[in-house]
Amino acid sequence: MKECEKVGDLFGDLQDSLLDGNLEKRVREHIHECTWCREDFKWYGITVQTLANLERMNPPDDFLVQLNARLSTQSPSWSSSFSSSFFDFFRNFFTTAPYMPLPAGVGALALIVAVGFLVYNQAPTDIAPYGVADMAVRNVGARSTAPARMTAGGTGQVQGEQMHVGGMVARATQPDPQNPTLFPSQLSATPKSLEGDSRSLPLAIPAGIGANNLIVESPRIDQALASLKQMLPHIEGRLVDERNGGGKVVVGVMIPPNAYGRLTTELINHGAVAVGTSVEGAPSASVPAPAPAKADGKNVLLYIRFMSSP
Amino acid sequence: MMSLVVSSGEPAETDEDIILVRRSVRGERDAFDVLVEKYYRKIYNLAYRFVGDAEEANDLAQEIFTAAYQNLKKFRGDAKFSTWLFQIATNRGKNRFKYLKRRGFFANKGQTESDEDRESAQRAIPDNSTNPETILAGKQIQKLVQEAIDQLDPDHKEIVILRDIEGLSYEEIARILNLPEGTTKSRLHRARMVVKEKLKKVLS
Repeated sequence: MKECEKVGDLFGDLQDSLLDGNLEKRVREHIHECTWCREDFKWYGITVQTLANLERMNPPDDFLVQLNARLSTQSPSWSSSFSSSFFDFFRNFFTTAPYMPLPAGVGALALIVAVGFLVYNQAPTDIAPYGVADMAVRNVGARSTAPARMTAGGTGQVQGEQMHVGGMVARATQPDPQNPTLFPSQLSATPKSLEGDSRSLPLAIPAGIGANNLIVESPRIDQALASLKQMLPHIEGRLVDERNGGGKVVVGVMIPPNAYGRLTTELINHGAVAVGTSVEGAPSASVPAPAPAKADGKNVLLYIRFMSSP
Repeated sequence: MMSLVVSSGEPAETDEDIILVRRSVRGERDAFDVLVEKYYRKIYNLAYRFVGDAEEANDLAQEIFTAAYQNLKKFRGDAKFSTWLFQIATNRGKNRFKYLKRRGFFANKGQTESDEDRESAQRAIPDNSTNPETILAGKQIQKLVQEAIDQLDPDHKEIVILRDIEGLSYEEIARILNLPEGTTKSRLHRARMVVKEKLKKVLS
């Protein structure tokens, strides 16, 4: 059988008469004696003959006319000016291998997606995250049920004024009930520490919160606080500060920017009657003024003031 | 002194091609037309064997001559013009074949073969007469062989086309494909064995 394999490998040379005399004689002897090799060589010969005798295919009658028309539309690369040669380089780059193999196509697509992802992650976003817009709508609802308790715009003492608290410049105006969707942007605050680095923090959050960040008025502070603590792990946030005094509780939480909307929504759902942003002025003696919002890379530090509502 | 001129119907490879190329490069379009006239049947046949379809072959052959025209200045003249042209034709043919294969072009064609076609082809093997039935069966064999080479991988297919169908020498094939002669021979042998098995399976 091993001999048959060797002989089989020589079929091509035998067919093309490329074997020397002695070897050819031995191979032919083997083929003559071995039924299996004889049959195999017969089919090998049929194959070569069939391939060689394949009908010559004739081009269509108008082949030369078509080709002439095609050649007339383009001048050869050597006869063009330098500028068109420059563009021809890129055209030839694709016409040399016009059919991109599938792996190359998939690779190119993956590269495009990867670059797109990187650019998306690096680019500063000036679009309000979903949660902020959601909060604005909920605030409108809260305002309609308990307008007196809303603390947006602080206590009303600082309307239209500009004030500096904790290194932040804040301007507050009264929310426009006719245009509720503007609510988050009506309070603008720019942490000075972040002014030079607009890429490090999504703009929507610092623009929508005041120096003291969020104020929650709730008849059950403990319940709202417990809910907050309970939900923090679910939004990848953590409690970093907690201070009590004078019927108020101020907590500092570190959350990812995209969790802001969910946080405020949850606060409303768990006992808070209103959630708003504020630029509260002087801190009381019992509750020190919290630090302004800031970012630690990917997270945002927010201070939430829980106040008893009647 | 008398000289005997034998016309084989094949393009004569002489220095004439080099002269025509030089004239073409100088901008004489009619010189290139002469080259086209000389080789277009061969190139069309080669294109047809790569793609197995008249329409595709027509487009491919035109693409080959267009590419040759565009790159004529790159022909240095250290090889025969026909070798250079076949090099372009083989590269383009192989690329087109891969492109069509990925899109299932050949798979769809292979499925159209009926049992009747196969039986007709089988009857043709022992019968060498020229009656219409045998001619028809011969056509069926041609179709089967084309399908068999369409199923080869591109590296094997190009060698079968160049050697067994176009009848080029191993030396020329090695130059066109930029391969050692030994590799060319072993690839051809493997390709023939694959085609042989397919034919044997269908015809025996």
